[in-house]
Amino acid sequence: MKLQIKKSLLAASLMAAILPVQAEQVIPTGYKVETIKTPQGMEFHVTGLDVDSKNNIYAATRFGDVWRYTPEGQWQKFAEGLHEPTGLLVEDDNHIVVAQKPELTRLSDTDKDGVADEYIRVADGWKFHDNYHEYHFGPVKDKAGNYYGTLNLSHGDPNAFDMGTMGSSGGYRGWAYQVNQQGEFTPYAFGLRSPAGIGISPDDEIFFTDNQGDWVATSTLQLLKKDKFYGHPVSLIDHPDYTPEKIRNTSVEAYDKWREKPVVHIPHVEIANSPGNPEWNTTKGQFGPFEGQIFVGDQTQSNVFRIMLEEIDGVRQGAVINFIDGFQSGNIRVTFDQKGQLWIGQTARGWGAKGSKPYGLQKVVWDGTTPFELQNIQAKADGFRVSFTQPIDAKSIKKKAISAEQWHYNYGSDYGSPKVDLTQIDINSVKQVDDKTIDIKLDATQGYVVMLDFAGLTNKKGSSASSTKVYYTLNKKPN
Amino acid sequence: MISYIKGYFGAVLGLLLITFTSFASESIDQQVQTLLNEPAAIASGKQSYGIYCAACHAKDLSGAVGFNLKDSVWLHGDSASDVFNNISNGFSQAGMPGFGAMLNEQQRKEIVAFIFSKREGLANVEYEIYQPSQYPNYSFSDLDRATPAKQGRADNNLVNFELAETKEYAIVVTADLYAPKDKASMLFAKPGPFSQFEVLIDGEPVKMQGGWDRFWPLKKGFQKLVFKMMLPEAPYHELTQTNPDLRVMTPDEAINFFPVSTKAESIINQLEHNIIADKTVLVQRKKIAELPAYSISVGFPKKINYAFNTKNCSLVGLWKGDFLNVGPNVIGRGKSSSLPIGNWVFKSPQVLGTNDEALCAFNKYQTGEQPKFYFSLNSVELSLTTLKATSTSLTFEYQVINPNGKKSLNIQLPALESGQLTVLANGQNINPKAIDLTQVKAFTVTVSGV
Ligand code: HEC
Repeated sequence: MKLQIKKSLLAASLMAAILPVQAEQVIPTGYKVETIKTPQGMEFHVTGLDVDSKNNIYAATRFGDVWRYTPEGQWQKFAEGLHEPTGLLVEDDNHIVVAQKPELTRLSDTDKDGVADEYIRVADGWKFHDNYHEYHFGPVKDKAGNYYGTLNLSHGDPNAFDMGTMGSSGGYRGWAYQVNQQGEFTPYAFGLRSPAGIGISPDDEIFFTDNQGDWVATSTLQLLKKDKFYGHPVSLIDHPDYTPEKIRNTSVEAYDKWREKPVVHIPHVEIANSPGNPEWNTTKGQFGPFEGQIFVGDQTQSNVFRIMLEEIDGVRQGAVINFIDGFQSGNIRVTFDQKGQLWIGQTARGWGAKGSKPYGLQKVVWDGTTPFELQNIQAKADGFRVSFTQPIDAKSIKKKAISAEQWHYNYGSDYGSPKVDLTQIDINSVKQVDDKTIDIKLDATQGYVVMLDFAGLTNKKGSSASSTKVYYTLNKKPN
Repeated sequence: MISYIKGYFGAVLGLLLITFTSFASESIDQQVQTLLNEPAAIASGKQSYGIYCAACHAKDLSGAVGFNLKDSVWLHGDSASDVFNNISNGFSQAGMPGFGAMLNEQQRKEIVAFIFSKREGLANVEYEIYQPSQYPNYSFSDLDRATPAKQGRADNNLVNFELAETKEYAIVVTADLYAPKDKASMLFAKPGPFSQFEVLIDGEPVKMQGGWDRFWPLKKGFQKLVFKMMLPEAPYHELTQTNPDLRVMTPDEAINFFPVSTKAESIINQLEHNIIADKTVLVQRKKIAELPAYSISVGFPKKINYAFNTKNCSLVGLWKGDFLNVGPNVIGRGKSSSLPIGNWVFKSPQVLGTNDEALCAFNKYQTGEQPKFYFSLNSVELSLTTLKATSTSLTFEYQVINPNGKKSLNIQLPALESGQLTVLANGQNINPKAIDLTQVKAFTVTVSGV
């Protein structure tokens, strides 16, 4: 979640973002969205979500409860009285770890009656100043047993150090942290803004999303690395080499050189305004043809989108494409259950969402039908290789079927960046590689986001994909 | 109790009425104004208030059986002479005795001065409304030459922007503003985009701050407010508020002191989500007004509650009453603090334990009918739970789990608003400043008579 409005002049564009013209729902064939009935009378803003080995779903609510949803469809309250948790991890069937604002807490059911009776401090090595925006996201746990979380900057805290919008009163706001098995807290990386989602890949790498705003041109997916700077200078007040003066006097160029570049830019409004946690699809095909890809929900756009990653000469990059939109509320948490169904935790309180409901829980279920959708995209020296989930109709494979444009973003203290140097790119050629794959030749620029729209491509039945615009962050052009 | 008082006081009421109508009301207003500058008079008024009024109007004047006496809502008149007469005559129908016979004139004036010294909110609210044709340049200086299309005095001490009745208007409000005396505050508005403002405090322009939300720092205590707002030229943005939320808050938006506009009043009234520990003991971790961050609140069905803080491993508050209104902390963005319901027995910086965070290492708590906190103070491993809760007392028990080689422990006691403290080990009173850990494995601290 993040601050959406800074200057009044932004309001007009904001409304355009929240209230678009009603369009048809984007949803691939074979997928459907189901709504789960949440406990009666509860304000069920789901901001933490995970599943145990018996396929019980655990949901943490912003109100401060943790609920269990059994495979039989029953709700049971597991814990209560937490301070606005925004993350939940099932460690094993008796231990849940929640990220609440002041603390990373293990909830333990010692007498095995199904309700937590011990609330154990795992870590609180950062500072919480009772500011509403000091969210605490996470945790994820790596194979060595370390926990990771992210700490939001504050907003509207009169005592905070700020540079216009988001602030910090110190204590590692705008940092990611690590806590090892011995409970030692280590400030891990800095320069984060509103890092509302953290996730871990099957290869034990940690990624987080950050929300568009000051110093974040458009929302991002970033790879978390120790001691790295991710671009928001306010967090540097906890860095031993910095003072407020030095932070203010350091040039944007110097920060730009220092910062980690996003692995994937997530275009504002088109894909997301306030992305949540990245969740890897390791369902072994239970969720359809998108195995190994990352699924992320967006709180403002009420959609779920997909991310595909690759590495070129050691440089991480990838692409983002919309998956399903039109969810009932703001999607902030996603998790796959044991059956390969994608659960979506939702809230719209305090921040508008396209979906009209204030809160809720939905899930996406696949019925086994393979849709015609983009399967993957890879950068090539002279363009992109794009594959699909079904054979492409050879007749539709022509230059006219595809259009492309590219742009980049400004880095700086402004609240978000427009598309800079937005230009159409000529499609030089489109060539079939196999029945599901094509090579698109075009001249894209390194450092730009390239949008390919393949609206003219169809399967053998003449249907086009439900999402036809894919956005590739070309950090490194292959040689 | 109430009917007894009514009977007793009813008899003298007629006499009092005659006596008090002969007072010149200006002189009472002036006399109270003078007393407001005399700390001794206010202290004496506070004492009388505590004895005669607090039972019905709450110690902090926030109201119970009787009305709230520190806000800007005065059903029976808000001048010093009105309040003086109301105290003297009472409202026998509604259950408030007259105090004209029981308290002398000076005592009653001191009580009025004390009440006024606590006053928060607006008084003497006057407004002028202008139509767009009167300000062709959309500038406040246009208003200097214009005659208001509408003007008057607000009868409920709130600004009602809906009086304008037209979509586009400019308004100039003048009012007496009583800000909190002991806390910094700001005038806060949610006007949406493009409206223009000018705010004067005691005749001096105040710089507007904020971006989307607007705010203006206030002085402490009494001040004269001029608030001018001019809506943009129509058609304007749909988020522009013709009836904006205008209120007085702490600069960190944690506490709503009082509404300034009728819109704010209705919003603040909706910020209610009470958690009442009526059936079982409840534990809630929320942002609590007037308590430090990291406080965990525990509420008992006996309507007594305390808060434990995980950064100083100490009790940082104890209050009587229903548990918590968490509404301000869980509605909207949840910027403001949950409000303890009832009256403080003590609150931070008063502590049971220590204010030295460096001594504290918090471990965990257990829920249930006797929530138990585990922590170390100065390396001494301890647990803290409640042995007994009644409507007027709480008995806490500390157990020494492991002294870790320490020979003694120092537990600081809080100063209480009411009641007393007893510290016992093995049935004996002990000195909490030097608890002998070679002898003491457990000790209790009882707060009673609250
Ligand atoms: C037995 C309960 C009780 C006691 C004791 C009591 N009051 Fe009241 N008071 C009330 C009630 C009830 C009302 C509301 C009257 C009504 O409904 O109009 C009230 C109203 C008032 C009002 C009018 C408020 C307004 O909105 O205009 C004032 C002023 C006031 N009380 C002051 C005092 C003072 C000062 C004392 C102590 C000297 C005191 N009261 C003692 C019950 C009490």
